[in-house]
Amino acid sequence: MSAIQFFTAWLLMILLLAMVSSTEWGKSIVYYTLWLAVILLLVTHTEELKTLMPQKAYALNG
Amino acid sequence: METRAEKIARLQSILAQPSSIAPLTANQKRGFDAARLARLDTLKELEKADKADKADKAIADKALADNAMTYQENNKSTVSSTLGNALSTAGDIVVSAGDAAAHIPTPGSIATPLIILLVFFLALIPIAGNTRLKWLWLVVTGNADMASGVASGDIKRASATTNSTNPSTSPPSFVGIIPYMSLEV
Repeated sequence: MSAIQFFTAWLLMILLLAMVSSTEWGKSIVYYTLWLAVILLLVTHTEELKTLMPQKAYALNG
Repeated sequence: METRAEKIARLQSILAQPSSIAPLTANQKRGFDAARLARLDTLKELEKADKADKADKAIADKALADNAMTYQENNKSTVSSTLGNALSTAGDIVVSAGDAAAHIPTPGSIATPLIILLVFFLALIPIAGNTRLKWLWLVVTGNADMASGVASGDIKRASATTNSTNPSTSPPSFVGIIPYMSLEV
């Protein structure tokens, strides 16, 4: 997929989320969907996040 | 053929005869009056009965018509009514679900997870050794090559990272802020 397609897909998704969040029933759905995205990001990038911690911390914590 | 004169004479002779009609007595008058009044009362009662019969007939006809209408309505197809009931029930369920979703609390508003995601995407997740913000800074300062994805100012770390990574992985993309999925095990 090209960069334009990526951009377009992201923009459409952001626009859709903004429209849904503007409604009464959609606000909570978007809110918890974003938290789910945060959790998924943490789970999929665990190795990268581990590089942020120093090696001494791993040694101390076993 | 009787002439006019003969006719007149005949009538005069009749008038000249003594009358056989006698004047009515008081009792006869009272009898005739009572009879007339009785006939009038009978007529009034008959009229009342006739009106009552007509009213009863009108009520009976209306009841028959109502029963016929009810019978026709009950015997109409039930598919349309069932479908209408189902649609209205489904609409009620959707509306109630929407109301329930509206009452779910959202502590910290929507901006909280958005800000966390933004921070993760740009500043915390390292791609090929550097975060996106750092890569952006290196590109702006001219210390990074977009084609090879190697920062000239951090050659050792970048080369070590690229040697350890799977050669099939693509170099970091500077197009947008798409998250990069690491294939390292």
